[in-house]
Amino acid sequence: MFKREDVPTKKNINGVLIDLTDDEIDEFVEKLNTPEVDERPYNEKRLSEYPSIDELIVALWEGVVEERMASVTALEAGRQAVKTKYPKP
Amino acid sequence: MSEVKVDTISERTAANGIVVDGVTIKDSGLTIPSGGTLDVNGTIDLSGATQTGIDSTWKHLSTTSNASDVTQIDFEDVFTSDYNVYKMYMVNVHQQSTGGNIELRLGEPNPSDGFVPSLGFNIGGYSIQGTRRGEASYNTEYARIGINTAVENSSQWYGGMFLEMTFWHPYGTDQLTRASFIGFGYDNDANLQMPVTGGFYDRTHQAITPASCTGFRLSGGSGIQGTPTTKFHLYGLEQS
Repeated sequence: MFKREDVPTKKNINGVLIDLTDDEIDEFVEKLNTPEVDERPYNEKRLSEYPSIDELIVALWEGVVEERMASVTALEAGRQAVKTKYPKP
Repeated sequence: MSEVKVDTISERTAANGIVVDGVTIKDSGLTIPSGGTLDVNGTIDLSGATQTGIDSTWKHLSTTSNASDVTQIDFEDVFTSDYNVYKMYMVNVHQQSTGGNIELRLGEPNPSDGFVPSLGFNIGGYSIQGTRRGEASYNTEYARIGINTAVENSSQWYGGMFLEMTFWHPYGTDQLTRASFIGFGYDNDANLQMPVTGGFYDRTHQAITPASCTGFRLSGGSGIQGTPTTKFHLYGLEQS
């Protein structure tokens, strides 16, 4: 939780420093302490947290060519965790 | 060698001015003929000059600094009818706490008046090894230009974001305000991300008369740090 002493007490307007009012400081602290609502659609949320294409290719290569499945298994677990985190509506 | 000392030299013939070894001085003007060269080894101060005869050059409009911890940095009345395209170099923007986002809001017309309520944005950076990848969103008051950025750490060499941002038609109401950017940044794990790229536009007015934006607000995480100093260099594109 952020407190008043944790945040700046000034703003910069066209290069000029201006003291925040008490109300502005309170409003800023309240905003920081309010969890952000992520309004992106589920597929965008998933895409932003899926493993990268590079990681997938390396894991697939290791699994298919080198018959080492550890990376594939780990990545698949990660992908399923992301899907669970952002379920399809 | 002789020396002439006078206070004033005036033209004898009104239409001719004064010619000194081929250089004409007339009616407060100085004309260097074809083949001549104006060789300046000192400083030319053009701060009060009106520039003509050079097409489509960038004119430096302002440099704004921030050396204090602040909640936001507002730019008011920086976009005018004088230019259609602006470029801003944002040097070393770093926020108060690691992991937050750097956001930009378009004023309507200025930040002190309110903001364009709905922007569409897409950030393509932080897509390789960041903890959070590129992000696109619509219908938000802000456009993210940095995601999960690192705070400046004086004990290490990494720093904030360095962006070259272009604003397209912010003032005019004949086209939507759009912006694009490219630069460098550091993600939550202090990994250098490059390029950080993206763009945003005024989604609110896409089906109605575009808004006139004369300013914008930059904010980040729990505020923007003042150490080291952040600088913003604004240029307008001269048009013939």
